[in-house]
Formats: sequence, structure tokens, C-alpha cells
Amino acid sequence: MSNVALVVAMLAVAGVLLLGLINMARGGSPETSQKLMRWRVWLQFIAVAIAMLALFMSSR
Amino acid sequence: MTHPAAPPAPVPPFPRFAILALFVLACLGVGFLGAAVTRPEIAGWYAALDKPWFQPPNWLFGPVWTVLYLMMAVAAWRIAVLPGAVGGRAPALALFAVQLALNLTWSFVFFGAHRIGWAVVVILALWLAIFATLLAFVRLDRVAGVLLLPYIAWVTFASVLNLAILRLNG
Repeated sequence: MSNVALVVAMLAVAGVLLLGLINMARGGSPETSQKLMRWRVWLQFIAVAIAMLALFMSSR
Repeated sequence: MTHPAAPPAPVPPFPRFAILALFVLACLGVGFLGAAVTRPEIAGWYAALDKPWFQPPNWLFGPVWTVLYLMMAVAAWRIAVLPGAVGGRAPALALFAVQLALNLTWSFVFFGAHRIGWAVVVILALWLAIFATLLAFVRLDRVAGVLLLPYIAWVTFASVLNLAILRLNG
């Protein structure tokens, strides 16, 4: 269960990161880049939290 | 006869490396004190505890903590030697002192007092203190903030480890 959540969170991080890179490569607006970066940081935070939860769940 | 007032001789700045040495001494000092309470417990009490599968080998902790203490010392030093006019330095260094104190407290609670549950409380407080320190540092000096990233990552992992040990031995 937490493994599924972890994969989803990691894909979300990768997806937003990719969107940010595409936006940058196309010379898109810096505001969009900022917004995507913020999203990425939060999603990354959530992904790490889920990873730690998954690790804890697997300890027994 | 009157001379024009001679310009005051420039005050030699307190050498930067001396300040760095102080921070390194303080941080490694905390490390040595923590190790002093920890070492006698490794072979007996600690060895008898049930550990989760992701428990790293014992030899790893010494080198990891040594590097982390050195990195946090450099981070605090960079904040301490920022040019005078920079505001927010004192609260940032106060937060640093709080996290360093909590870091030492954890060793005494876990290894010294064998209170695994209370150690979880301390390590979560430590995590919050490091996070607050990191936010305060990164505002003043990006490099100082980045130097604390491996530290908070390791303490995040150590928190899960502490929680797992509590769960397996509670």
C-alpha cells in the first residue's frame, strides 16, 4: 500500500521536474518555472515522507 | 604643536580560521561526548535489541557522524563570519546551538538512559530544530544551508530507525 503511494509520489516528482525542464528549454516564463520548482520541492518532501513511512512499515 | 589625528590603526580581525577551529571543536566535542555514552552500550544493551532490516552496520555511524559534525561546523562558521551588517545571524546561531544540544541529549536518552520512547521525542525535536536552523541559514548563506542537507537527511533516517527499534522492542 505505502509502496504504491511511494511510486505514485516519485512519478509525480519526476513529472513535475520534467515539465519544469521542458518549460526552461523552451524559454518559457520564469514564473512558471518558479511555480513548477515549488511544486517539485513539496512533492519531493511528500515522497521522502512516504518513503520513510514505507521503511517504518517494513520494520516488522 | 598639533598633529592631525592619525587614523586609528585597523583592528586586526579575529582570525577566521580561529573561529572555524572553535566551531569544529564544539561540534566534534559533542560527537566525542555522545560517543562516550554510546560506546559502553554497544556490545551489551544495544546488541540485545531487535533491529529492523535496514539497520546500518555499527562501523558506519562513526565516520558518518564525523563528516556531519564537520559539515555543520563549517555551516555555522560561514554564518558567524558573515559581514557585520547582516541581520538575523544571532537567532540563526541560537537555533544552531539548540539543535547541537538536542543532538547530545539524544545520545544520553537513548544510550545513556535506555529510554527508546523518549529518544523518539528528542529526535523529532532535533529534526525540527535542524529544519529551523536550515531555513535560518539558507536565508543568510545558501552554502551554509546546503551543508546541513546531509545532516537533516541522516537524522530523518535515524528517526525512522529509532521508531522501528521502539516498535520492535516496545
